[in-house]
Amino acid sequence: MARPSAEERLGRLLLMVPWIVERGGADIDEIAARFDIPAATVLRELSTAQCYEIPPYGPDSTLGIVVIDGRVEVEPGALLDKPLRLGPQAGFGLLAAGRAALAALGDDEGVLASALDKLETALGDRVPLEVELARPEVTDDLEAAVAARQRLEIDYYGAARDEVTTRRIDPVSIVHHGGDWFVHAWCHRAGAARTFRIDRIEALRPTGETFAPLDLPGEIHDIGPAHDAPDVVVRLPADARWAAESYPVRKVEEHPDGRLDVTFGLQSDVFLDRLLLRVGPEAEVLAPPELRDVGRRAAARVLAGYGVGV
Amino acid sequence: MRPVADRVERLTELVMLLLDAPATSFEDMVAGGLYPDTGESSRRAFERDKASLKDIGVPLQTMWDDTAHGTARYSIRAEDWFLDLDLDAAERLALHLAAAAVHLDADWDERALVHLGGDPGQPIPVIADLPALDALPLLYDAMRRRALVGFSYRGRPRTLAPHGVFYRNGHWYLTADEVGTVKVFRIDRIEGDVEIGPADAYDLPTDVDPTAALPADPLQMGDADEITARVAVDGVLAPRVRRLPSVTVVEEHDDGGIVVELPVRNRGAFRSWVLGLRHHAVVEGPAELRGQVLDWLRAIAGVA
Repeated sequence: MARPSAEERLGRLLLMVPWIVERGGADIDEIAARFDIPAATVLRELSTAQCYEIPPYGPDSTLGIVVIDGRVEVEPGALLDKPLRLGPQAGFGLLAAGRAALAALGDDEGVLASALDKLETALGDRVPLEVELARPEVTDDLEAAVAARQRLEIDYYGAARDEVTTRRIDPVSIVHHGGDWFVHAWCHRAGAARTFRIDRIEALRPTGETFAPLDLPGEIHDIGPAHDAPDVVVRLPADARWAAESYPVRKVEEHPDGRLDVTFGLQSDVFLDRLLLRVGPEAEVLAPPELRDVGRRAAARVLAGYGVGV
Repeated sequence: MRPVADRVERLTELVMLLLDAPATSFEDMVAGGLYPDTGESSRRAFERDKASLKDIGVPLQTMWDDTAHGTARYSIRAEDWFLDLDLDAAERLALHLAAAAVHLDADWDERALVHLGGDPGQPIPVIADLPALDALPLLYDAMRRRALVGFSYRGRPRTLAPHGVFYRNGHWYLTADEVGTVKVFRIDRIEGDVEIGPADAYDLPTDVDPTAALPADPLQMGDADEITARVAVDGVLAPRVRRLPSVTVVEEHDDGGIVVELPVRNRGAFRSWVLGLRHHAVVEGPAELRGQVLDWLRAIAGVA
């Protein structure tokens, strides 16, 4: 590991001392865990820093650090006894996280709202920062079911197969990701852990049963095509860049004229139909060759609904 | 007095000397033992130290003392540096929980929590996942300082007075004034670096709602005339479509299918939406919209 620079060491010390003050003292191991550095480094840095002093070299001219038997205290009234202002990234990050939590949980009048109010005031001039996490109607019911470990029956529209199925699920967590809400659950129909997009749940019914605590395999963030889904390479016109930004992509190559060769994981035939219909006649499947005709066939199926034969 | 050999020690003692103290000259620092003499090499070391302090965010103030032949004096004002955040224990915990429950693609909020002290206790599940774009804190800081921002967007250089940032449908947006017109920019589509101008360059309107400039419904974007689309949807997708806030169900069929009406300004967005429903939806009218969708489909299918 590269040796930290003098600036990094000073920056760390300036954070560490007020952090210790706020806790009323801390063990070396606690500090090491919080700042993610070895305990020996903490001990060395703070032991050295307790000797730093400025004129007139009296007890009030030091950082007030006292290291004894693996514990660090900072004397009251020492120079760095208050937290430092937040930089732009830390200030924005905490405010954005707080606003997102408020949007996800509601409760505009609660403790978090008042903490954010104080934070915004402390950061200086107030600046409009909004986070919208629109919750589908059934999210409240799902949250209640997660909390009470209630088994549910859902009618779910599976976009990959383009069909509505009825499933019994044991929901364990809910998360907002990429603009949509998802519920991670044990699916009895699949006999496996599954992640469901909440806005695709058409109906939800309690079964009256509960389930034991579950430690489900898979991450709720594993949203998108499976890792072993085959590649499909689509050439998109320059004005269809949105498609490369809206769907998970594996590779993008840009041509000088703005066209893009985009490699998608082929989640399902329905995904490719929908993509090609939305992007239009300028889109072209480059590989694999057996999928080159998919767009034409998808358009023909839709045209049949308009009474137009192809 | 003893010589200060270690650079971390010298930087730390420089901070201690300047923090909330009377303005201090370089000569005072030499007298305090931070630098060995007032020679050229000591001055270069001091300039390097000043740059280091600036890099880690120490708000070093420079003043020019006219009574002493323009001597530069330095200080760090406590009000510029310390966070005046009077949180009670419950509020501090709420911020910790919020930062733990919301996952940003960067450790920005984690770093903030070190300043605040305390910890959330037990690990808690993530409830939301938000992208952390490098431009966000820059734009946010520029707004706080009322500084104009410059960047390239859709191949064109822009100079903007930012009004606010917001997150919707998985994307961060900047609302900003460009030559008297309020526009919305998707922040992940900013091309290259964001440049920040001098502070206090514009007035931020009061009570501005940055989200108001972007209709929540993409079919309502743009200035085109509003028309009412009539769409038949089969029983497979009817339950999803009927839940959309902008649709009105005007017919219910025995097979579960429905006919809906919805307002449309953006014809391209409407076409994209209705074709996303594939063969489960047919545009019944008006003729303008139906014709556009049919032409599009015929072009894809390669038929006249």
